[in-house]
This record gives sequence, C-alpha cells and structure tokens, in this order.
Amino acid sequence: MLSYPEPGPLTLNVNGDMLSLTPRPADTLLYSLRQELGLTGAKPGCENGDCGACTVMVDGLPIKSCLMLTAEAEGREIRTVEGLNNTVLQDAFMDAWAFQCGYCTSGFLMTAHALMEREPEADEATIVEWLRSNLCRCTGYEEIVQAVKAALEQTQRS
Amino acid sequence: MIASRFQYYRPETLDEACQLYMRLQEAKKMPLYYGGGTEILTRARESAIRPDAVLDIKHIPECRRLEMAEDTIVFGAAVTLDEICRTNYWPLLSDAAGRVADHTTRCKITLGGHLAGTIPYREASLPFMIFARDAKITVQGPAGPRRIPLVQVYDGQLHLGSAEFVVDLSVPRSVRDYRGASVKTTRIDWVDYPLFTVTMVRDSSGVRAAFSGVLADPFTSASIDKILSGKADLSQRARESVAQMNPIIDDLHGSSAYRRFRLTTVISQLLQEIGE
Amino acid sequence: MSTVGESVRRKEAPNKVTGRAKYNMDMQSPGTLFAELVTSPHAHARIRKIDTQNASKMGGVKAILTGDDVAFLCGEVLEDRPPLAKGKVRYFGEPVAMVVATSEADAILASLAIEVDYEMLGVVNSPLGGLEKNAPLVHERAGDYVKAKPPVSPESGTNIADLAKIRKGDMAQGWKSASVTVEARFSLPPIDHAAMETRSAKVEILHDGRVLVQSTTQAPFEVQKLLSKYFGIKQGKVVVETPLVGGAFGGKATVQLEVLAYLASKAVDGRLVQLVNSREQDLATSPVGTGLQALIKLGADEKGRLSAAELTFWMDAGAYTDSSPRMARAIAAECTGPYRVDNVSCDTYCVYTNHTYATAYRGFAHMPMTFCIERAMDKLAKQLHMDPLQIRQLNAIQPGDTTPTQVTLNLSRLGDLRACIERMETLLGWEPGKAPTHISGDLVRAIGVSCFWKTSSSPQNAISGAIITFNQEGSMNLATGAVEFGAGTKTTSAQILAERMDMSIDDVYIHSHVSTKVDPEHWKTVASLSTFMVGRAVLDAADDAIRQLKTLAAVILRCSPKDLAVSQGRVYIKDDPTMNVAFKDIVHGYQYPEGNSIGGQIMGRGTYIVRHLSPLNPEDGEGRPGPSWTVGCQAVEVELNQRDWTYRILRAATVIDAGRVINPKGARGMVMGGMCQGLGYASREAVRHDAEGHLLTNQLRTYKLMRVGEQPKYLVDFVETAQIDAPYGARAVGEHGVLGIPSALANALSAAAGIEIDQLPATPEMLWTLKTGGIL
Ligand code: FES
Ligand code: FES
Repeated sequence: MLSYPEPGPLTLNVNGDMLSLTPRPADTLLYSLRQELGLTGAKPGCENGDCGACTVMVDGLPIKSCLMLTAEAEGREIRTVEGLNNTVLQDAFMDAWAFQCGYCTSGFLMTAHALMEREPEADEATIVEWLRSNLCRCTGYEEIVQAVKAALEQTQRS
Repeated sequence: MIASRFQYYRPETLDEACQLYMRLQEAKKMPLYYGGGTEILTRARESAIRPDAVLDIKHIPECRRLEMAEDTIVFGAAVTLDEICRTNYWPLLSDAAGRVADHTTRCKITLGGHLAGTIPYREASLPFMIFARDAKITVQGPAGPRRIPLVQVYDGQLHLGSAEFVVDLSVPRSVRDYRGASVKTTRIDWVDYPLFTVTMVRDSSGVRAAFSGVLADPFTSASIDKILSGKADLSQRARESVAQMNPIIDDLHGSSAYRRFRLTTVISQLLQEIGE
Repeated sequence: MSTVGESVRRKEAPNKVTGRAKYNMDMQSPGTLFAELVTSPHAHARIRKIDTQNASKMGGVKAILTGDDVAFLCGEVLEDRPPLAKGKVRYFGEPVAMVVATSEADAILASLAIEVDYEMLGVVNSPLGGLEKNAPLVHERAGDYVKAKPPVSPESGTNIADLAKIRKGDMAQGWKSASVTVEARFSLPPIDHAAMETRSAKVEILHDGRVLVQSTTQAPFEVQKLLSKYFGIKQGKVVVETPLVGGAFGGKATVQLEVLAYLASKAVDGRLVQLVNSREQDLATSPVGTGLQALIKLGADEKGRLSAAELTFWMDAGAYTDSSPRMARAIAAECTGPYRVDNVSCDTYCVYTNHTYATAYRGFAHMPMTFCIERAMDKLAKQLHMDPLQIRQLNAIQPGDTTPTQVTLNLSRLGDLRACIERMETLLGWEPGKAPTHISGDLVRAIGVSCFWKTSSSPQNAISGAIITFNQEGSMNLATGAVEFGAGTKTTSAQILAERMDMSIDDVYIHSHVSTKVDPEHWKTVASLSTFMVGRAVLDAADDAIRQLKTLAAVILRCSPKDLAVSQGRVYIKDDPTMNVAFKDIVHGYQYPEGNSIGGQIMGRGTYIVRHLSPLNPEDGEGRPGPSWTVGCQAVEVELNQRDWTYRILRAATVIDAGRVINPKGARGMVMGGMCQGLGYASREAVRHDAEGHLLTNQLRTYKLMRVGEQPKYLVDFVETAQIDAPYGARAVGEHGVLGIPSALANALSAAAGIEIDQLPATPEMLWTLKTGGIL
C-alpha cells in the first residue's frame, strides 16, 4: 500500500518529465506545482473548486488541481499549460483576444485542450458544458468560445 | 493551502482499507475514507474538518467497478460522476449526476463521496431512491463486504457503522426500461447548488418521484407518489404533492415560497414529459 | 505604416498563453515569512479581549499583531480606518489580528488559535437604515477624524460620512414647466470586483531603510506615498513594484494589504513577508463596489423635455470611507445622466454601514447611479407614451449645454450621443414604440435601452510620464507608470509610440511590470484615463526624441532640423528621402568614419498633467471634474418565460463614442467584458448579508459570476468624434461597457414582465415576487 504518513519524496509525471518533490501529504497538486516545481501557470483563484483557474490535465481529463492531493496524483500523467507549446489552441486564443488579464487563461486552455483531445467532434452544447467549469472576469466569454471553436475546426480540417 | 496535517494512504484491497481505518481509530486518530476528495479538501482548507488521515479508496478494484451485466448495473463507489455520464449505462442516473457541480469537478467527484458527503443535495442518489426496492449497496466493514438493500442504510443520508464504507451500488438492468426524467432548477445560474432537483419515473403501476433540495435531505414519499399517480389534472397533482412537503428549505438560493412555486411548475412539466 | 487603428496583439499575449506571464504570487523567494489575518466573524461588535497566548507559543510563529500595536488610522480622503481593528469591529471580515510565521501552514494554524471575545452591537445593514432615528453608530465621532484630502464632511453623532451637493438652475421654475413627473425609489446591493487574482502584497524592509513592496496594486505610486506618510519614511526609500495584475476593476486601487504587510515585516526585523488574500478574504475583508439607494424625481414638459431633476442618493460606504467621498462627487457631477436638465438639485450622501467598505469599482459608482436615472427615464417615457430611445434622443446632452456642475460642453469634450443612439437603432433594427413580442407559449421578448456618460473625476493635478530609450539597433524601450491588468494599457501606449515614430510596433519594447523606482509616475491606473494621460506623455516623449534625432541628423546630413522627418527607423530629408541616416547610427551617438563621435544617447522624455480641472463647490457643486466625457447608448434583449419567470439574455449592445479606436479588437473586448460584468450584476451578483450583517456571499459558489453559455450575443459599434486634445482623438472607453447594462436589462425585463424592477439582482424569484406578491 502506498502511504505518505509524513512529508515524503515522490515522483510526479508532469509534461512528460519525471519530477521529484517532497510534499506534505496534505498539499494539493496546485500547491506543489506552484510552490515546489515552480510551475506557476496553474493559478489559485479560489482553492475551492469554483473558478477553474487551477485546471490541469490528469490522464487526459481536466482536473482542478486545488481539488487533488499531490500524493493522489502520483502515478498519473499530469499536463500543465507549460506543457503546451505552439498549439493551434494557443494561437486561436491570441487571435480571438480570448483573454485580457490572462489570469484565467491557463485554466481555460487546459479545459479546452482536454476537450479537443477527448471530444474532437464536440458540438456547441459540449463546448459550453466543458467551458463553464471555468470563470473569467474580464472577457465576455464569446471570445473564448470562438477561440475554442476555431481551434477545433482547424484540427478537424487537418 | 490546507494548513492542517494529515496522512495519505492508498489501500489496495477492501480489507486493507478497513483494517487500516480501525488501526488508526485505535490510535485515537481520525481517519476519513477518501473518494474524489472534493469536499474533504475544501472543508479541510477552511479548517472546518481536521482529519488525521485520508484513505484513498480509488485504487481498490471493487470500488472502481462500472459494469452493465446481463441483469444488473454496478456503479463502484470510486467511479466519478463524469464516468457515469460518459458510459451512460443508466440514462436517468446520467441526467441527475450530470447536473452536479460542473464538468471538470464531475471528473473528480465520485459516487461514493457524493452520497457520503455533507453537502445535502446528493442528487445522484435520486434515481436509486426511486428504485429503492431493487437498489442494492455493498458496504465494506470490519466483517468484510456485505451486499444489502440500499434502503437499509440510505434514506437521503447514509448511515454506516464505524469503519464502514461504500463499495458499490447496483440496480437491476430493467431500470433502463422505465420512462423517466430529472430536472434541476437553480436560482439563476446553470452551475450552482440546486433550488431543488426532481427525478421522476413512470411504469404501469404509476409515477414515482424523488426530491432533493426541498427538505433537509433527499426524499421519496409514498403518499406523494400516490398523488402524482392520481387522476387529477397535472397542475393539481403538482400542487397537491407540493402541499405535502414541509418545511421547505428557505435559504440564500431561494425562499420556501418560491421553491414551492417552482416545484409546482417543474412537477407538472415532468409529469407531462414522462407521459402522464 | 499605421499602427493606430490596428488590432495588434497585446504585447504580453505569448506569455499569457504559455503560463509564463508572471503575476504577484508567481514569484517566490526562499526565506519569505507568511502573514495571516484573523478576521471578524461579526458585523459590529466591541472587542473585549484578544487572547494570543496559545497562538504565540505555536511552532513557527514569529510575531502576532493586534490593533493595540498600531497607532494610526488610514484613509485616502478621511482617516477613519485602523489597519487592524481597535476597540471594535465594524464589518464582517475586518482584520482583527495578524500572525507572522515561517510557513503558510503555521501562520494559518496560529491564526486559528487566537481567541477574540466580542460583545455584539446593533448593526447598520443599509444606508437608509443608517439614517434611521435610533440607528447604531458605526463611528461615534466621525467628525473628529483627520481629513487627508478634503472636501469631506462627516457628521459626528450620525452615520453620515459625507454629503455632495448640486444646485443648478431654479427648481421652482423646473417643476412649474413640468407637466409630467415621475418619482421612484431604488435599492441596489454592493458588488464585488471578483478579479480572478486575489489581492496580495509582499514587503521587505532593508537595513539601509529602503522598503521594497511588491503588490497587486493598480496604484503603485499611491502605495509609495501612503506608506511614506503613514510610517514617516522618505518617499525615495519606498520602492513599489507591480507585476502583471490578474484583473482589477478598481478594487486594486485602494491601499490595504500593503500597509498590513509593512506592519508584519516591521514586526520581524524587516524580513520579507507576504500577505495573500484567500478568496474568502478577498470577498469579505478587502473593499467592494458601493451599493446605492436613491430617490429620483424627474419632471418633463408634455413633449418629454426634461425640466427638473431632484435626486437623492445614499451610498453604502460600508464601515470606512476609502474613496467614497470622491465617488459621491462623481455621482453628483453626472447625476442627471447624459441629458440636458436646466434645473437640478442633487444630494449624495455617503453613509457608514456595517458592511465591507466600498472603493472604486469599474465606472466609479456610475453604474448604480446610471441604473436609477435610466430606469426613471423609462418610467417617464411610459407615462408620456413615448418611445424609450426617442425620449433619450430628445434629451441627449449636446455641445453648448451645461453639466450639473455647470461646465459648458463642446463637441470635443463631450462626443456625440445622438449619433450613438442613431447607430443603436440601426444595430438593433429598432422599431419605435414596439411592444414586447410574444414568441410562443409563455415566451416574451423585449428590448431595454439606456444611455450613459462619464468623466474621470480625477484629482486636479494628476500626472503621467513616459521615457523612451533606444537600443543600439534603433528599436525603442518605452517606460510608463501604468499598470497592466488586462486593459492593454502597455500595448496601447506602444501603438501610440509606434505611430508617432512611424515604426513597426515590433520595434517598441515595453516592460509589463511597473516600478516606482525607474518608471515615471502615472497617477493611478484607473478612471480609464491611461490611454489619454499616458498617451499624451508618450507623444510628448516621442516629440522630444524626434527633436533630438533631428538635431543630430541635421549635423550629419548638413541641413536644418526643419528639413527632416522620421520614418521606418530613419531620419530623412523631406524633399529627398534618399538622403537619410538610420536610427541605429545615431541613437547611441554618431561616429564619423574617422572615429570621432558626437551626440550621445537619445532619450525621449514626456510628461502630462491634467489641466483646467477644479474642485466642486461645496454649496452648488460648480466645478470641472474631468478633462472630457465619454457617452454611449446600450441595449439588452431578453426572452422571458412568463410561466416560471426565468429568462435568457439574447443580445447586449453598446454603441460608444470612442473618439478614435486605437485597437479595435482590444476595444471591442473591453466593451464586451464590461457588458458581461454589467449583466452579471443585473442578474445574479450581489454582496448579500443576513439580518445581523454577516456576509453570506464569501465564496465564488455564493457570489455568482456569469459563466460560458450565459453570455448573450454581443453587438458593439463605435462612433468616432475625436477628442481634440487626446492622443489621435481617443476617448476613455475602459470602464464604460458596464455602465448602462444593468438598467437596460431591468428596462427590458420590466417591459417584458409588466412590472417595475427598481432593485437588483433581477433573479427569476424577484420577478415572480414582484409579479405575484410572492403568493402562489
Ligand atoms: S483555484 Fe481551483 S478551482 Fe479555483
Ligand atoms: S482574462 Fe482576466 S479573468 Fe479571464
């Protein structure tokens, strides 16, 4: 049985890298990513599962990293915004002006990226259902939805 | 961050989990079984709870079952609400479970945690409550697992003995044959705690309904089912059944008078939807 | 090469889509200590005793502070707020004590071990409640507080913190010419800024006396001045830095956590301390946007022309004044909405309540003020059987008219509201006088409209500056003091510079962080003034650089500087561009072929100070509150289900006189985001309290924001009436998308449901209650 009665060394698979860290067993994945691994793309907006700014991908699904223990993430495949590079999605976000302050952006990108992998044929209702897990206080949301649609269309074409 | 300290364990068998729980208890520790953990983590961050250890049951194969066999459908306690919706073995359950929290959070919330938690709505239990006579629950305890009728331990709240936890829920495959629907209403937002949720099915013997967000806990009621199955016109049945509900919750999401009003419209709309 | 008018990408965009953009809490230094607040669980209570004994013995604890350790009061206008509560608490969430510890966990655990003994006091739960005869007093002797920046007029023995007055024309005459009048009361809750990044501050006090502050502030230069003032430190020793900010909306222009973090650092020998709001604290402890109650009376002649406006506003200042007195004046200054009214009487009260104190929120109190006026305009239109857009068109304020503060307007200052209304008619396909339409079954559609105006209400001596340096290759670095919180300030100023230098935007480098140490002061990044003020400073700096470039090039090209122009990184002779010299050969001095050098570095320096503003006269409000106005027209279309009173927001539209649109996608985005916030406030957002004043909405699961799928289709269009003294004619547009939207939604729903919605948020339950009296 895997156990962490005390802060203990563990290895996380983040963006394909095996990274060692020593979290407290009560540390959330959000906390460890940011404080121990310096991966600050995932943001705390509420640490309560309400805003989605901390969203990362775990085994291909969007997960709010404030709602997952680091110890729980051990053995699973974690993907953060730092693991996205030059994707169609990121370009689409820039083209559509899908952010202003940018604080919610990592979370939206990871939700949308998971959507594109899981539901490449997603219809409007599915896009909305996934994206409404995230809050944005700056944009009117239309920009974000447009960016995601554009990215989906572009990948469908190619 | 979560300031309090707790230990993390990942048992791999039912017995291992239960034994460990008891050992920790004997050592005067407060352990918690941990499924999706969404509620444990948010409450621990607020220091509303201070567990000494969490026992993550997601790696116990029995808790992860999600199967539709010849005659039964089994939902493991550690299956997420998203997995339930995605496999869609029981569309009525998908309807109810698919309106809990938001999509990303449903990728984390487990069926067991949803039933065992303190958030009172437990919408995903409504379909099971409607089929209470046929729904079974497997509970792991010090004496090993036991499979019992759901009603023995669940009446809108889960009543388990010390060191016990839910392994799975199951229903006969025939539940799929009923015509049913589930509606969640909120104050205004799509993603919010419910004003209330109503789940309803109909068969040759009549209409059965389960409610959440109306009284303190989810409930079913034979007398309400009788009214709903009656001959009066739909809105009258709706009014009469709502008149049975007391005291209706009055809170931030809506007053009891408003809940009463919306319940009446939703119930008649549902009756219509299921073909009454 | 034209950059102004192009949707150039924001400069920091690539970093924002890769998680590399750095916000305040993305930078961690080892050895940082952690401060944690103990906050009040009560809205109004006397503090009998604070027991810190157990907490102080806990692991990692370095210091504990309470109100007794702090001897001064804070306040931008009126010094009425102890950084840590002293004697009593005045709102739920007020800081009572602070722990500093070596780890965040230790700080939190120790904060939980501090025991505070309270004795409950009666609460003031609304502004009008605060004016009732035997209302509890939030402050016993408000009149004794130091007035840091008058005017402000608190009255001891009452809950009145301030009163701003407008007296214009002759009310008796105004009422005499009125053949129709409307009178209505309004009640609007406070709003939370709810920026996705919560507020935070880090402070370190070095042994050479320097104080290093890094915070999420929109006003780094204000933080510098206030810390200097409160703690008696020379301004030069206080260095404030602001990295990228994760949304602000006015809520980060107030100075709160910086003072606390300074106290915390001071208590631990100046070590680096960080203080971060949890979401719960950000909602409860840090300031909100003001709630507003109002009594509005309008009079008009039979044609619908306004003749009199008698207006009383009661602001929910909360427990402390912060910028409320300035907002009271801002409300007063524009109290009629963008309409010509010759006879005006307006009293705007700031009332102390036992709520979280208010500060600026997007629009500086104009959003709730506009709600009251625009709802009253619809009521007036209804009485006169006039079309809602027509009555607004008829009364729209024009060049030559005067404002409530008696400023005479011209086209450059004001813009063209009539053109906005006309454009809106086209945009909507408006059919004058059209009644709500039945779609099918229980569904009814209706459109509500509104107009808005706003000026800056900024200090009369607000300044800005810009410094341009050159890299040897000829590209430019632009330093300004405006903070980047999403409005695109930095990109806009780079566009203005690129345009003036006739260079590519890619050759302008900006720094997205602001430091008071190296960047020229920009008053505060608020009031949508940055494009105007920073833009003017940038143009001034560009002209300064161009002058230097020409002077040096004139020597090299053997001509008069007057013969020269700059373009594409070259200085050339106007009538023979083949004779030119490249920036790269002169910006760091020019070296003759034989080796001698002349010139030296070229550096452009530019400044701007607002001009001709004057304070409002305390008796009648006469004065000039801002350099210019922005006007616009908005509309919201709803589809109401008359069976259960739920509704969908179908369309939201804005036409705004932007003067000149510098970055179309950027401007459109700002306006859409504003509309989305306005719709949120109108339909669901509200800071809510129970009868004892406890905050009920201290998480994002109870303080609800709009989400994807709830947004309407947006229609945005611009009228461009240049503001002559603004950079390329551009007017302020940053805040304005929000202003008229709540009233437009309420107008639409009122029409669709056949009720009068004079409070918010307009939830289905509220519609049902208004329609049926709450009876089944
Ligand atoms: S920080 Fe995780 S959902 Fe808000
Ligand atoms: S861009 Fe600021 S919160 Fe989304």
